[in-house]
Amino acid sequence: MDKDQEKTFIKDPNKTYGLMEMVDGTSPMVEKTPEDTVETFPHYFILLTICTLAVTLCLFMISLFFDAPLEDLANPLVTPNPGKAPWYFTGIQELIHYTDKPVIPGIIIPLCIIIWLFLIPYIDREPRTQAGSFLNRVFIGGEKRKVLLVLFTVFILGALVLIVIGELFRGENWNFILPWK
Amino acid sequence: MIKSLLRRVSDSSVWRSIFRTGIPDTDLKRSMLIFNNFFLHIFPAKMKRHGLRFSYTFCLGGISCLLFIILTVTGILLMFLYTPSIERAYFDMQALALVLNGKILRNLHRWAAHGMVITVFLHMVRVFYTRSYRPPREFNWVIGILLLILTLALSYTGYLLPWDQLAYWGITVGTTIMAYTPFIGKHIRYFLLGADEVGHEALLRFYVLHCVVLPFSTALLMAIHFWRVRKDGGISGPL
Amino acid sequence: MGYAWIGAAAVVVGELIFGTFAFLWPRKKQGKGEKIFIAGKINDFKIGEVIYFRKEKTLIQRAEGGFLAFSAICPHLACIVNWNEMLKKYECPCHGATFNRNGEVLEGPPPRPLDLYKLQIVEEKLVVDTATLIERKKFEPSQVIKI
Repeated sequence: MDKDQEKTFIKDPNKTYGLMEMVDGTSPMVEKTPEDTVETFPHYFILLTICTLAVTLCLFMISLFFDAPLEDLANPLVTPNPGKAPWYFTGIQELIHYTDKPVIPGIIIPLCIIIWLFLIPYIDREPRTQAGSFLNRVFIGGEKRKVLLVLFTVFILGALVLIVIGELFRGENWNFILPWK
Repeated sequence: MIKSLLRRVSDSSVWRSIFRTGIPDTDLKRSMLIFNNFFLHIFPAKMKRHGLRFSYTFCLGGISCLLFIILTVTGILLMFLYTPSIERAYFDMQALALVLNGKILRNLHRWAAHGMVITVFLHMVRVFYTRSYRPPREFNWVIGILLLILTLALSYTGYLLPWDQLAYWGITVGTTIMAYTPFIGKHIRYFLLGADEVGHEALLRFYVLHCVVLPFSTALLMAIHFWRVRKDGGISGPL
Repeated sequence: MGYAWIGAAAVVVGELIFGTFAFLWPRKKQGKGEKIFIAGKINDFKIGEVIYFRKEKTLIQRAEGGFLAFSAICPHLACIVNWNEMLKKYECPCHGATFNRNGEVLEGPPPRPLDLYKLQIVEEKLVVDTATLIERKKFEPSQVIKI
């Protein structure tokens, strides 16, 4: 401590508290360590405005040049060939193609994934007991959550690959085709 | 000249009765601007600097919300020109092309819906990789997953409404998969479709779900989601 | 006393939920029109020929010894199967299933062969009852309706 500071931080032996630090800022926050904060207006609103305008503009451009598909009138007597689910479900459709029990990829797997997603924050936390620590190591993979990272990445890549295959690489009668031919 | 005019306007009693604060030239006034505005009061007056970094959030949650707003607006406009009956639905769709801006509204609604599925999913991916679901944010993650499911449900129920071949067979196959659920599958399908096959009852049910029930649930959960972001300490910090 | 309040609240909430479901539960439709249709005379069909009756979603096949009436609704996920005359098999466009001429699964995911409709031959005419669906494990010659 140099002399200048010693003058500011005088220690009074009769008091249990004293001035410890001086912080330069305009925040009214007290009893908290200084945080790296900025004013929402204008810093955040600039980002908000740019994002909003950019997304809206992109959407308008896409809507101008690409028409939403409208096929023939619904006909319960004729199935279009190939009959495809909406793109976010083609992954499931692709899985259904492989098994004779649609309940497994159609119901059980999505349900398991959803339950697992719900549980992620409740299993990835600081273990308190020995059993908790063991479970944590099995399901999460310790502090660096290696197991969880691998599982989640496999889930995302798997969904992506199945959707791409189902959407682009499947033609008439769900036969394998190459989209560029 | 312009500046003094602006000041005159912003100091007038009419302006002040609507917007309590004048030109936000001090930090206090900037905070008051946010506190005193109904639409802005969900934002904090101050934000952590790292929360503003684009490469941390990629604005995915915000874009999802924006797309939801666009979908609500275009959806309400489309409702004026749509009849949920199997005799008219498809021809109302075709007639849209004849209405001024009809086609672009439908396109906006369709592409925004696809976009929202993508951004909501990517938002979940972002939150996972930044490990933002850790306490105290566990429950907000759960609400987020519910919102993802609702987004898919919204998109799927909207899929039937044009009543074209794609819609009819997409829903037929989807609901038949549901019927494979052990024990109650057949009843779920029957309840959802309102009949044994996809028909008028199914269209009406999906219409009500798509236009009222699901958007309301989504908006409610979104409100809780945003509120909890604030209550749980703002945007999470980097790992 | 506290339990009484909780019990009363549970009853009210349960009633509301049950009432909503009961209100939304679809009414049974009465009589969907004719379930029986006459497909034609025996001599109208050539041996080995498959004819699709679109409105009734029925495929009628003249086999060696008699007739088979298939439901065209795929036993997998309810798409409409088509008869491929070139390859002599039934094809489902949704999940790539194929069935042989007796309706048995050749490839793909369906859990059972194509369902049959009840078929009768009355005075040289084929009478199909689409209300009676016959699910089967595999093809047996007895399923063919003899002339």
